[in-house]
Amino acid sequence: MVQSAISKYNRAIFLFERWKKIKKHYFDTNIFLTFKNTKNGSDLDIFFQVKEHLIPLDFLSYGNILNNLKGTLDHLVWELIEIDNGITDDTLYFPIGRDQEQYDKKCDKIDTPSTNIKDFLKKFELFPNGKGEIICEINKLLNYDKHRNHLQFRMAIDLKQIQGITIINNCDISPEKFLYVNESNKKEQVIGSIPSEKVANNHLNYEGTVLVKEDTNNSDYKNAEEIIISASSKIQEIICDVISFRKARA
Amino acid sequence: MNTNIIFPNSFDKLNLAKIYFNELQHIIMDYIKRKKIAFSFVEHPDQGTKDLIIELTNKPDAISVLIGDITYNLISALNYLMSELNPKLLNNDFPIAPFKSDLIKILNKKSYRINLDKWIRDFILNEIQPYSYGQGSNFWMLHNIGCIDRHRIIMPLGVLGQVAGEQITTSRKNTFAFNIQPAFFIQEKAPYRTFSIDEDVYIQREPFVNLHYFVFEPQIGIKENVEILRFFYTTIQTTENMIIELQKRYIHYNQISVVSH
Repeated sequence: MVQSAISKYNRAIFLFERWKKIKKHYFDTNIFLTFKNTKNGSDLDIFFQVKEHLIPLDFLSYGNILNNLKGTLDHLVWELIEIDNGITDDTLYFPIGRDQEQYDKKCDKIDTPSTNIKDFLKKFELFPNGKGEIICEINKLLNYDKHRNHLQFRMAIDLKQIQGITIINNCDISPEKFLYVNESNKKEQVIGSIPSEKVANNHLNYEGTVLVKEDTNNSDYKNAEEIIISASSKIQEIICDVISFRKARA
Repeated sequence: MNTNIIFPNSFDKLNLAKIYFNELQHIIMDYIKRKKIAFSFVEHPDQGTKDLIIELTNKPDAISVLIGDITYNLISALNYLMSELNPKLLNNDFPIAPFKSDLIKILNKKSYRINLDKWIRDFILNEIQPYSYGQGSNFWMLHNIGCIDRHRIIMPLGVLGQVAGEQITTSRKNTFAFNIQPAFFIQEKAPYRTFSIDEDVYIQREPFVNLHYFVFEPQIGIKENVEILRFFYTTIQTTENMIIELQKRYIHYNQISVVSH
């Protein structure tokens, strides 16, 4: 039951795990955030170094994760309609709408004998501000990645995680306190200071974060990892619902 | 010269396809080495016969999804060429069509006609020929595999190949060589040959497994019958050669335009 969709889903999760390892490796081997004594003695300068600005090629597998997640849904709807003896052709996709009206219309348009399948699909609300909004997000990124151009990635260090930090000006830090690693031309710089008592055992804990967006001016960067976690959890929910729906029908 | 200067994004996607292709190659080769061929008999006492059943076990699950990943990246590599040739073609896919006449129609559409130089349209139409029966028929096949992968799983189709020498002997001094036509589904137990029920059958040597034939749709049967490793190998090569050639000509044409200005 829904085996084909599950193999797509599992592939997405497998690639995501691999992608996270690549990310960790990138930050562990490429980015160095250290500190040293300032002249006044009580504060420590935060010293930032990046070995290589280039994003590793394997990072582009993010597109494959999106494709397999979206593919999971399309495989699911194909199986549902096939069992119902509806029309399965290359135009059959899991409906995603720009609003509820369009989404409902797309559900109704599916050519299948059972109306309860259409009603069943409608409850997933894959449209902005609907329950399945996150799927619209991955669909938008996927369409861009597949047809147009690379997604834009920003390797960043989330400085919010370092309490008590004082940032100095002009060091490529966003208002949200992300230090953009791969966009700075400088390979090393002092980015700020921190009271020495805030640094436990002479070590700063920070986390590397990857931000992603389509290459359009009006869209904001979003946390790449969080998008996949939310989308995969939503898709897992949909798979379970489809399995229950099919069991109930049987 | 850095060969990636004009189409870096397209090259990136192509290189990612190569990474997945290497994985596919490794999985298939590994399977061929580790394959398990199970032999069994099903007896039919009323007919006085028994069927030799052959089953290929331990089929690697990753093959189907890897085919999907390679296809995804190759199609993206082709699509990116359009936007890298002209950002105004951001919404246009690389033109691929079932027949030459369809390709001509696509290339004559306003967006391609206005935003793609004539030499590029001619290059695609006359030299790349991305349509069935054209030199670039692989692209049409790739397009089809992509369509299948989007909706349903690509089922592998295995083929048992013949090797030299006899592999089956019987107590009645009969000898047979394995020779199975490309219609042997590795996920099924297939009856291979019928013997008399009282005949002892000895399998002397396992047949060679050629696992290269794939792309099967459960409902339709074999939709695209391709030798998958060879197919992707040649498609990757063709794509790479095309991008490099396009790049050379792009530089050439731009130099001409610079000189003439």
